[in-house]
Amino acid sequence: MNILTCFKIVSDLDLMSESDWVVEDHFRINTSFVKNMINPYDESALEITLLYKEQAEKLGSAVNLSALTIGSKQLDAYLKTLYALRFDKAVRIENQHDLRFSPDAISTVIANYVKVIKKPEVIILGRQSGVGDNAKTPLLVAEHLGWPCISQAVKIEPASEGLLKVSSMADDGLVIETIRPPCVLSIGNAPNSYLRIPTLKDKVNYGKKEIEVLEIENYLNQAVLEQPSEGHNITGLKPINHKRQGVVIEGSTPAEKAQNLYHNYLQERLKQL
Amino acid sequence: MKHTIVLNGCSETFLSQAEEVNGFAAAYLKDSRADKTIIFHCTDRHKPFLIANSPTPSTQLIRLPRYQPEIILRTLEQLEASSNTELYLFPGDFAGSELSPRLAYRLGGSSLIAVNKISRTENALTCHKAVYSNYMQAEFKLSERPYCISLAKGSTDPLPIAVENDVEKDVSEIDIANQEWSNTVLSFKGDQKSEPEKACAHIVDYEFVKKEAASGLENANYILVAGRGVKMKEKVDKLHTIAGQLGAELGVSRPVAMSAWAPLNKLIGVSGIMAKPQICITAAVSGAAAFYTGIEKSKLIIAINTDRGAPIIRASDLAIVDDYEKVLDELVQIITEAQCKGDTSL
Ligand SMILES: Cc1cc2nc3c(=O)[nH]c(=O)nc-3n(C[C@H](O)[C@H](O)[C@H](O)COP(=O)(O)OP(=O)(O)OC[C@H]3O[C@@H](n4cnc5c(N)ncnc54)[C@H](O)[C@@H]3O)c2cc1C
Ligand SMILES: Nc1ncnc2c1ncn2[C@@H]1O[C@H](COP(=O)(O)O)[C@@H](O)[C@H]1O
Repeated sequence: MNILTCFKIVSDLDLMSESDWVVEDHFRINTSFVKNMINPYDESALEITLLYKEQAEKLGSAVNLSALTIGSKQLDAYLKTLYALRFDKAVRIENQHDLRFSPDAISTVIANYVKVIKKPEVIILGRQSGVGDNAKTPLLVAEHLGWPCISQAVKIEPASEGLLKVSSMADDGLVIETIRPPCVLSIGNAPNSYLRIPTLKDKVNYGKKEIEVLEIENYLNQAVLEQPSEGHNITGLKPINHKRQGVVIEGSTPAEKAQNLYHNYLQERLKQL
Repeated sequence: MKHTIVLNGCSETFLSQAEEVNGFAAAYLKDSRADKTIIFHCTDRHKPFLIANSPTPSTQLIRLPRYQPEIILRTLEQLEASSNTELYLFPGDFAGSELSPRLAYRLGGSSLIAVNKISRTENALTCHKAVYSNYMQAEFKLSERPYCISLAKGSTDPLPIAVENDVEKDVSEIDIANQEWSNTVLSFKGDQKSEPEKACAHIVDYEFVKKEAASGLENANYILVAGRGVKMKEKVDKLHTIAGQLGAELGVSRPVAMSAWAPLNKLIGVSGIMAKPQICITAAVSGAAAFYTGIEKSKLIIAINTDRGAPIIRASDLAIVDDYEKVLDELVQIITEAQCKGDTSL
């Protein structure tokens, strides 16, 4: 089984302070001074991919893992880590264009890449990524390829004869399906799926493999790259204000603070509940 | 403008979907002509209920064996290919957010997920939605029709469907469930595959496990939220007990749910429940925007955090800068004593 897992590197926006949210030309915001991280849903996607491989190999079936990200050279450090975690192939499609709000373009690139390499039977993506919070890419990759898509997946296990057992969340329950690839799986809130850390030994032994770097122009035509969000253009951007009064309750001990809170603010309100 | 609403009648959440979309339509689509509501459903038993709670006078019922996006999309694609609907409106649940972009793709339209406000201009639909993990609000122009949008959960107040006795409801029905389906396993026999069979030929086995009863957080009046700062499952369990003693429901932030210290149906925020209690106490929560959006509609927010600089302090009405456990232990004691004295109506 060949699996392609797509991931995106995002800025940890929770580290931005209020005054950092400055909208520049072309609705850009400078977030370059906060640290990067793997988009949380993609972190789950990568860990679930590794768990799947471990399980399948125990059952004696071979699994080949590729990881793909679309972005700049800066991301190679993450791809190296994935090599150290025993991904078989790490691919970066070089991109300098602003595709923050262009899931249509990103999904076209991924689908075209898949059509060219003809390899993966299963594509795993996160359900949503910052900064666009688009939540569309996996669904559109499936549409481009004419494959089925299971969204909100939380667990992927091997089943007999090359089938997959996929658990996914539905609005009022959990769906457990055994499916025949090809398929696109979009990962939702999957508990216990923080990405493992490679050992130093694996870093040394595997982390130096060459990353395959491809040009985005080969997977998306120039006209689309210059106008990537056709039918869907950003025309405004402003910070959301979350401020409230923020009255700090004083006291010299936790007990005093709790007393103050209860007697001056809570007691009457609780009576009204 | 002419709009169509699409709802999932296979789910027990049908009524909340209908009221959510109805509220949104009342707020932003006053001048638009509602064409119809398309409702997918699984049993005839619920038909009268679905029709009564359809937000539009005209309803198209489509019966299928179960909620299955591939079948629904294929049906919508065929049914709507020649329609001149400009806008398809989906609720903000899992189903709505997976169907809307895929339908737009198939009908050659444009789509946007988690929209919280719209307005109409001549050749475009202006949509607002939160981006940058809920730190920013963006405005987008959709220009390819049909526009297929799903709503941002909890962004508009739900509006119950008005019962108009003198208005005859116009109902049409399609049944695509008359196949060899069973609830658990699909079996495909013979060469003559029907449309639904073709659309889910990849499924070899199917099982549905119903969610345990809803956590009640959506409608709770009083909630206590545990954040990552509580550091371990045992402390979340303790907070569960404390919530009970305070008369509150327990909610958690994403890291707590993702570490499996609490079930996912307790998750508060854009990825979980949008709560609207009278009182919300957060314990060891930093106040990230993706979380805060889930408690934004609280009347009173009380934050307990050791860090004076945590964003939640500025985003709360009242804050205690201290260890959450010490403060809550004291609070429980005060309230228990007050209860013994018959001091409160708890
Ligand atoms: C696409 C996306 C969707 C997301 N959806 C959600 C969502 O729906 N819900 C959600 O919650 N998050 C969501 N997040 C994650 C969000 O960005 C934050 O990472 C998360 O909310 C942080 O959780 P926290 O406040 O519990 O933890 P932290 O940010 O780690 O904060 C812990 C806090 O505890 C305080 N603390 C530590 N010890 C104590 C103590 N003894 N007493 C008092 N205070 C103490 C610390 O000062 C700190 O402020 C999402 C993120 C993304 C990218
Ligand atoms: N630049 C990218 N490179 C690789 N995968 C991406 C990229 N952008 C989005 N994705 C994938 O698509 C998912 C959904 O993203 P989005 O539609 O932007 O919310 C992400 O979780 C990733 O798995």
